[in-house]
Amino acid sequence: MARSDRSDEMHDVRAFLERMASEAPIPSEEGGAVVRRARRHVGATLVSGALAIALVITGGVAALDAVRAWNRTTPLVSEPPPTPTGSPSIAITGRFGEDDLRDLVLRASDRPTGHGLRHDPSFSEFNGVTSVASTLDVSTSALAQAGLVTAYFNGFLSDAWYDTGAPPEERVDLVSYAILFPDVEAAHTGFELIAAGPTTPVSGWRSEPVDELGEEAQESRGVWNDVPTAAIVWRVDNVVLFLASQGYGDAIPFGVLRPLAELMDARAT
Amino acid sequence: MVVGSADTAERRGLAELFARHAPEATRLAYLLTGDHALAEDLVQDAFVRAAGRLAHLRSREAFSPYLRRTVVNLSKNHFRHQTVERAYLARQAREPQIEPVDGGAIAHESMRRALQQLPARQRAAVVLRFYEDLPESEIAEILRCRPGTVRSLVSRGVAALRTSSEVLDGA
Repeated sequence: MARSDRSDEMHDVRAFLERMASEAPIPSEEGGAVVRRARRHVGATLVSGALAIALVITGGVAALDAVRAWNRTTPLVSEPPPTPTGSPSIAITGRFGEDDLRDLVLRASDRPTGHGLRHDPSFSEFNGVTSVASTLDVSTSALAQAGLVTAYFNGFLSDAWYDTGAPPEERVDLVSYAILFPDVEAAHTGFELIAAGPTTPVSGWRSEPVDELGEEAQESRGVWNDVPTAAIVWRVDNVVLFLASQGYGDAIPFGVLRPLAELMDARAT
Repeated sequence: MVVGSADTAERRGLAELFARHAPEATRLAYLLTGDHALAEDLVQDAFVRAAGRLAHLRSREAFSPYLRRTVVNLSKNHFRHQTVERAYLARQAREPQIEPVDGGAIAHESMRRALQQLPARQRAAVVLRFYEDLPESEIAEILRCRPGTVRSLVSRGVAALRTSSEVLDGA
């Protein structure tokens, strides 16, 4: 194709897109309902999303206490002992039920090693679809459509999170989720949604299937929200299991994550 | 520091942010989906998500590109499952055709349909390149691929647009 033809073609495409864009709906000026949703989300994300970069910026224990205090006053987090948040009207036909979830996640007694991680009881709770979607950065509506019933998670933090004098690079977290769906098909859809990766920007994100875990599994690594992240997601029957780490120096390597995932997997299978 | 940022992102700030960025984001979402209602839904979801990350962004100026990326990612997710996309295209095909009144309208309608029939990644690459005028490196970051792949996606997208619109014109 001659250069002028190609140039004309590009011009045509641009002109077409400009014209089509002019047919787009015009959002209402203040977007009242959206702004209210966004406002709630700002608060929720600061404390429940991936254990909050806020901790790094405002520094260690004081911020952690603030997070705990916030958690105690909001319906997002329940006081221990946590109770399931799923609807009793949902018929679960898969192997697992709500009572199994606490046994499937990584436990305090598993003592994940290598980074001085310790279980923080503040991050041990049942989550509904909104919190799961927010923390895993997956579309809330898609996850709800897939039929997510409820989820349970345990969070672990490195000692550096509690030590204001520790270098930020030593701050590492580990999150373990067991996410319940009513049946295998719904869990498969949920697995695909989570395996597709975060909806917000990431860089250098790479994913590979894993053969050894569950009925389908994938591990991913990259930088999410400027923080190195490693995640393993897999499915066993009607439950999706998720194990992820973020670290300001680096996430926990797969060499450490895998055995922990295998431990969870062994309980489920 | 973060608490201060969150405070400034109070309702008024968010309303202003929405008023400033939503129209452009909606145009992008509409180009990516071809559906008014879906475009509005995607932008609302994207805005809520981007607002949730507001305190983590390095500056307010980073909000617009962040929102744009989120719109693209959400639209890609929407079309990720082929069954959904096939159902959507089948529905589009069943919708009554707009009766064009002149040659320009015919060409525009043909191109519009051809754009919606492109695979989601090709469509996103074409829109980001020719509507948003983004460099290949930035598109690559958004689509999580290499710049060479972006070139290929754009080239194949434009070729498919040309072919499809010619076929549709001839039909």
